[in-house]
Amino acid sequence: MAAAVREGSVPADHYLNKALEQARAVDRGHEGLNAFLALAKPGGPAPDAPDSGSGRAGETHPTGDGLLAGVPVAVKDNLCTLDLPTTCASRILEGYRSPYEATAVRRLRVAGARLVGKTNMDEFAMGSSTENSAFGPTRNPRDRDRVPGGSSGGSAAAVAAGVVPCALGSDTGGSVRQPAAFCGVVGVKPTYGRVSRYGLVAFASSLDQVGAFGRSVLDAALLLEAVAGYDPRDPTSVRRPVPDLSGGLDEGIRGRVVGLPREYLPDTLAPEVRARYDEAVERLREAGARIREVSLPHTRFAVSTYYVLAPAEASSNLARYDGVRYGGRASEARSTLELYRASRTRGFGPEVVRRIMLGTFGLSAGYHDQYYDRAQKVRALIARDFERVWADGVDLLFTPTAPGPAFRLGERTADPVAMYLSDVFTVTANLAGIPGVSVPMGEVAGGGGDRPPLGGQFLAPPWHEAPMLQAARALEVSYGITGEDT
Amino acid sequence: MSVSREEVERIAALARLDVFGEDEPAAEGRPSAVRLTEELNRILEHIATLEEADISEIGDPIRLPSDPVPFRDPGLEPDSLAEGAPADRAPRWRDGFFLVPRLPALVDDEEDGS
Repeated sequence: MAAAVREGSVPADHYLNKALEQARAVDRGHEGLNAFLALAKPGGPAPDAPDSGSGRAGETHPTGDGLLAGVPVAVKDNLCTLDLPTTCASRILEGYRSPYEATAVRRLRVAGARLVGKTNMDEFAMGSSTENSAFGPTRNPRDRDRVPGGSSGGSAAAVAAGVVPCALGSDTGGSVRQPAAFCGVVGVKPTYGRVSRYGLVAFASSLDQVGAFGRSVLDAALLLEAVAGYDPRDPTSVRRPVPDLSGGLDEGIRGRVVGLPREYLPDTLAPEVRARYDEAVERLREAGARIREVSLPHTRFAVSTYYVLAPAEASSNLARYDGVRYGGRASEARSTLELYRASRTRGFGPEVVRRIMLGTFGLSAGYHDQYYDRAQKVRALIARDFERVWADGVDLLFTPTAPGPAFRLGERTADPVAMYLSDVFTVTANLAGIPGVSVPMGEVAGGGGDRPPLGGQFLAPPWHEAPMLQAARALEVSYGITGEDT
Repeated sequence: MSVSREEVERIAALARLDVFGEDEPAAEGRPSAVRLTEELNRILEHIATLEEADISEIGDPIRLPSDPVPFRDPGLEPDSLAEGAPADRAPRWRDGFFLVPRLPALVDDEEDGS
């Protein structure tokens, strides 16, 4: 795609207009996907001129070389954009137009990509099914009775439905990798600090990271390459060179030590999931990987740790939505406090309220030590587990991305804990700040004659995205996925 | 560890959220304190597994790969709105500031100090 646009054999708007047509065809009406909350106008805003690709002062790795020239890209609705609203799928931000754009979005423009639209998500990225959107759930393109996963379900569905070859999401506890697995596409969460969070609406700042979806590992790698790099506007972004992620993808996995952590393979794992996983491990072995069993003993505390820390950070970050500066306001309020309470209560959905309450509780006097402080220390234990495995010579870890395939719409909405456990294999990477990627790993019987896909997850030491993506590529090639040219 | 309904009401006040109690009519958008208490207790029951972790050797909190966090460049300017906010981004705009409707007078509220 990009090459054809760069050479001028295809008009710059060609793929954008095709994507918009496709989005309108699949997204609306009865059983429409509802993957988009807003679509660009045909033709869209013009991409930046090539010479404006030098980036802002202090930034590294600006990609003004047309890496994604003319490539249509969808962006999760918690990344600020100038031309389309940014709502985080919340009533409290309904109609909000950001006065600035996220660094990741700006870098896409500079690389020549064309913004197709803003994608649906769980409200403020809190959820694992995209059912917590104030604007209705997204459906899974593989089976419209199933959830696409979450919270970046709209981005995953847009890629799986063939609307766009790649899309941006955000991953706080698995919100890119789990929907990628549920929709049968590739999803990468880079190392914490690899991509600027400037303009990513904050949920849990020590865990949030911008991530990339692709039809193939190559698509996801190209997108990640375009948005990665230091940004002085995000002090947690890191001044490190961005490796050539897309160039060396076919280097393979020969000689790499791949650890299989036993805590990610509990006896309760569905036999069919275990069978697909074992087959994938065999494929890795055939591709030349050296397989080794390993242990990450504190994994069992990960979901609990996450559900103390993420809500605590959320309760602080979401304090800014008070009816004064953003979105909806309870205009009948007679005092400032009443204004805050009425606007927030009306604006936030049930899951966001639940997490703000949980976070406020965990940080409140009398409970801070028991919950927040303890969870921070357990987080350190979880990170230490990974450090020991890397120090022991393991290059990568391979796990299932989720305990099972996409569940049916409405199946888990009444049980928050069951929903939280969807993240059991993904939250550890966010707690430790390491990169992870989900790649298709076969299918299972869905019960209704359908075959929902599964995902396999590679985890790697900090900054080792390149070998991690090479492994993911080796696995997808073994399934016959070649990856079209983006 | 579990929380009582009264405690849930206290936390809601701290979080600037309204909940309705057993003796109040359900109102649109206001979550039920009773239901929230049940849900939070189920979640806290799961979180209680943290008590089984041996944290005796952990002194410092976690260091993320991005540590040490550098100080921001003091010369860095925020994205400028000096050219004016487009009309569709803010209804009113003056001298680089967004104008918002006047707030209702801040009145004493016994929950405000909680």
